Amino acid sequence: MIKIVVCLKMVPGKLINAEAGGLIINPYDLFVLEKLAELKKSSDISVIGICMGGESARDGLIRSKALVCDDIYWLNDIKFAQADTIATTKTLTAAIKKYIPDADAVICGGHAIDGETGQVPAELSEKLGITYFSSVADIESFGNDSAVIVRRDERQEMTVRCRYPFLLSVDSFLTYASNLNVIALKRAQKWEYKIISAEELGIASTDCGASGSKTKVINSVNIIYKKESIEIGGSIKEKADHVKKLLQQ
Amino acid sequence: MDKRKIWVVCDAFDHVDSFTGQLISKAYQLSKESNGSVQAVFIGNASDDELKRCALYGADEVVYQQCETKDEKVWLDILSDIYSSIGADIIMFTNTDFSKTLSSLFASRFEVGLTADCIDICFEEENGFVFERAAMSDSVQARIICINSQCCTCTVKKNAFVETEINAPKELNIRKWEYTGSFIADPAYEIINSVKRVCENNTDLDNAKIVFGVGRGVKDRETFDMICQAGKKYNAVVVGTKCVVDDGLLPKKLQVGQSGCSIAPDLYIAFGISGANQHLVGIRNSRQIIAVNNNENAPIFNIADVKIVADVKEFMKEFAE
Ligand SMILES: Cc1cc2nc3c(=O)[nH]c(=O)nc-3n(C[C@H](O)[C@H](O)[C@H](O)COP(=O)(O)OP(=O)(O)OC[C@H]3O[C@@H](n4cnc5c(N)ncnc54)[C@H](O)[C@@H]3O)c2cc1C
Repeated sequence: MIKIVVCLKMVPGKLINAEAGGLIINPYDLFVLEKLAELKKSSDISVIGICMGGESARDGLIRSKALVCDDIYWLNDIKFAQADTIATTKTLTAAIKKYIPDADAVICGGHAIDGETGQVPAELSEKLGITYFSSVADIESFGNDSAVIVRRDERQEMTVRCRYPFLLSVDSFLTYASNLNVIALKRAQKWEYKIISAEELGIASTDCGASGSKTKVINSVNIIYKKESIEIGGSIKEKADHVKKLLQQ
Repeated sequence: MDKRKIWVVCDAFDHVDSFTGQLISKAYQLSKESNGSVQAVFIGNASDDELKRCALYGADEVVYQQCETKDEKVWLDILSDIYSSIGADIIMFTNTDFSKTLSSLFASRFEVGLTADCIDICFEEENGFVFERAAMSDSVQARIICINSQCCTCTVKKNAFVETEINAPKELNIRKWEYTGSFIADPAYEIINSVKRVCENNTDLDNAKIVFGVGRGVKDRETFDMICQAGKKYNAVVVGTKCVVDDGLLPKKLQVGQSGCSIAPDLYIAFGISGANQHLVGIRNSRQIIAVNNNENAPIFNIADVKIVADVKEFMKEFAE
């Protein structure tokens, strides 16, 4: 049985749909879950979700469980809050090393649509000491000692066989809600989610959350300076003609 | 006090490209503000003459390690070796895929602060180096500092800074590094199949004089096609907001803004774009901005030179005449 860890982040739903409230599964992570659900039908894999997040992550976790996860570790402690990528990496590393030390593959969405830094996957691979594959567009199959993946960048597309253990950063995403089996969803709702605190994880508070972070937002500023604009009135034709004239200059 | 060490990690392998030039130019400016010296760390394969070009933008020294491979892990070990030996106060990386990975591996190894996709950096006596990037989902920029961190690292967006040749380049010191570790990339994988991708879109966005921006206000294919047609006629590159790219209308590399690219054309025309801060940071260096939007209160008008309140489709019909 191939053991696969998926890192899950919950992001504000309004980033996808202006009307949506609450948190949803980051679309890149959702792509990974759906892909694994498909592959699970034909290969012997077990999927373990790991998520750092507060109570508002519950709904996304239920969906993840219903979709494909055999087990979920929920790192939920106020001490984890406001972590930058370094503190996040250390926390996830501690959890993987403690609970799933024999993971064959760790898979992350390429970035989270709220922060957009895309740094965690590479940082995590370095801390875990496993091979890193970026720009993964697709996962084709899981074999006994290696998996076949597709990597894509601007210049080429490569199908690659990679040996376990490794970490993938997947750059594909879905923005539609997946079709969930109602029975699976009901079962997932009743499942008991293990909540793991900083103490239980055995991580010092200076290694996680805001105190473990190496960066800090000091304030925010507006760097977009207002300009005095000239409004062009008149008919549509006059407006279009004005722009044409500017273009010809 | 010793001078602050400002590093620029050059990633073009065999030459000093314009992205690297932009970083060195900014580093030079920071060195004046912070009493620092600029060191370009060059890994790859380049001649001394090529390396000397770093001085044009204000580098004081080039630390050069000859290396035949461009592999993140190999470079990480080389960079770690140099860093452990001479140290740095701030390290600037480009935000190419390669350097994004390299900088993340580096930050994780040394547990130092890393800010992604900066659009500005400044030095302040009380805060040290301050990095600016778009705040998460706000209409403002976040100012970020490093704390409890031996050095500050960042990746920088292309075109955030201007490549500037200095008046009197200094005598450049080229320090040849002699890395004694392995140059062999870890063969933990095997390529089964590789296909070159044809770039259908070989547009030169960096040097475009006129750019047309498409937003969600462009609601149908017909209007979009009219804009592309007009783009051809006026020699303009057509780009889009994140929403339009996510909808698949334009490829990712034509996304402008915080998580896309930054542009600085002579003229930018925004069609049906609301003017979210994450988009504005990518166009703020445009010389002139014209905005077409049917909502007279759209934020895009705040930074537009020319304001046109109109329905894009109606406007394009006339414009295409
Ligand atoms: C971390 C992060 C990173 C981001 N990075 C980027 C980025 O790199 N680039 C980017 O662009 N965005 C980015 N965004 C998204 C950004 O916040 C906005 O959501 C996006 O720019 C809005 O795109 P838009 O203007 O096309 O759409 P909307 O905000 O939906 O605006 C559509 C506009 O069209 C106008 N309109 C509607 N109908 C018509 C009509 N018939 N005629 C004329 N006008 C009409 C409306 O008045 C409105 O102003 C990012 C967001 C986050 C959270």
